[in-house]
Amino acid sequence: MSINPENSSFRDRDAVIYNDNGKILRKIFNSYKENYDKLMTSGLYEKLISQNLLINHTEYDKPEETNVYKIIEPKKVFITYPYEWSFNQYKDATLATLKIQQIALEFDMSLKDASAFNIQFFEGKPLLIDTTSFEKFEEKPWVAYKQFCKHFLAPLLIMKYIDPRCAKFFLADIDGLDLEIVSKILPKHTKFNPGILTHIHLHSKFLKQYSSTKKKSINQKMTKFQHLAILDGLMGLIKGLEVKTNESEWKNYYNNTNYTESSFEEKKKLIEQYKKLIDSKIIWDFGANTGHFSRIFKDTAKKIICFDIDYNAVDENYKTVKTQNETNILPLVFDLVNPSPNIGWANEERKTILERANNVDIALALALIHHLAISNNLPFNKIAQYFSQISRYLIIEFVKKEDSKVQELLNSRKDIFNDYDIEHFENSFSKYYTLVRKDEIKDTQRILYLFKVKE
Amino acid sequence: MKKFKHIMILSLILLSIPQTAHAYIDPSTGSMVIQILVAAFAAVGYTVKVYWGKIKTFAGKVFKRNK
Repeated sequence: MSINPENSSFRDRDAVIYNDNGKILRKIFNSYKENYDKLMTSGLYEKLISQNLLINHTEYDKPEETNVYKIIEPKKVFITYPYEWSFNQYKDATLATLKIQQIALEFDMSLKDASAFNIQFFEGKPLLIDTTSFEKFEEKPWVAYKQFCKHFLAPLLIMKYIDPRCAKFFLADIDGLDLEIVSKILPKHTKFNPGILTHIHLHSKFLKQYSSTKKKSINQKMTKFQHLAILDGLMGLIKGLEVKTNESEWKNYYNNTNYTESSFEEKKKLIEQYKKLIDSKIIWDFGANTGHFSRIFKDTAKKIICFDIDYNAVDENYKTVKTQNETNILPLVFDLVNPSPNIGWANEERKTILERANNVDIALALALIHHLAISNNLPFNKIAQYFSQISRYLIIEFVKKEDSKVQELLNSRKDIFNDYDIEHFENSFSKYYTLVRKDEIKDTQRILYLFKVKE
Repeated sequence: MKKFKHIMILSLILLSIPQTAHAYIDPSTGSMVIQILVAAFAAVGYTVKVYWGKIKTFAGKVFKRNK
């Protein structure tokens, strides 16, 4: 029997998350007894569950350890990180956190932390996964306010005012964005917005000013009404943040390929045929764009993750997930040639995507190989090896050198890719995979493959 | 800069005797002070909003009754 505490679970001394033979459990210590009981008996837990804002859990019988009050098993969720979210995912995660705090105040409780790592997307919606984030409300300033600004408000503002890709700044500091830097890089006109002026610009100045003082805490009262007033202001500020994208760009997303209508449909039909050959529940689509081909699996899959490097494509996909209420689809921002690394203490607090790949049935890599092999000089061997670690099956599209999209990539550079051909491609992939199906897509320079990982 | 100094002086007045913080994350004194300042202004706006909402509901009921 093996019990392993999660590497990221050490900050809060009231509870610890651990893996017990594949089961993810949370041990709640006696120090949190009063708060846990209040959460569970006040009606707060039920209200948050009914609004899909908090993770559901089951309680276990009395634990053996004397310092442990309860052991709970939260519902399993796929872990994502804030630097993998598009703008609207980030915005919804932020609003969910504020909503949770507003509801908590109704029940005389308050969030003791506001970490973006505590929010995960479950069945299309953001929810809090840290059951022990609540404490009894006291009439004092919100202890999690600084963390909220660093983890939520600041990243959202730079995504809005600089570029959505700035979400990656979070990778540089596990404790959120430095408000002083954010204040420096935000456009000057944001100082005329009362919310941004106070929560970011003045806040950063106050943090600097008071960092050297000996006074560590203050006993100035802050009433619940004042808390609600600040939350209401933050809510209004965040609701008003929008990132404009050119809608027509997305309507033409799949028109801008060199597929004819019939070959596009044929590719779809082939994938549908491949789907029938495999019992697939978990699908990971790499380079998914807005998720057109991912949705072939929509009716049967338990979970589909649509990875794409393009923040706007992911955001568009997320908007579709929301409007269509697609509970089994999760779009994520992901750069395959530079995936999210493991960051934090000892480089083991946050997991890489490979560490998070659990029981993935099919990986899709459609119209992707030329970007990896030519734009990024990746040898086929490395590509095959990486994908073979992710899923049992791989559906991959080979784009021949004659294809105009490959020619576009080669236009501006010397063609050093003598081994970019079907023979080398098949040889490299056959080291890791057995070929199940191979189909030429009519009227194109493309071939579709279905591979099965060698045992 | 002068304006900022005034704000700082005002915030220092708002501060009183130090206390021990029990939170597991550092709430930071600067963050506590800015909250108190923001709360003072936000509460005024929020009061207007809450009461305006109540007035509108009340007026709506009266109007409906008169109809």
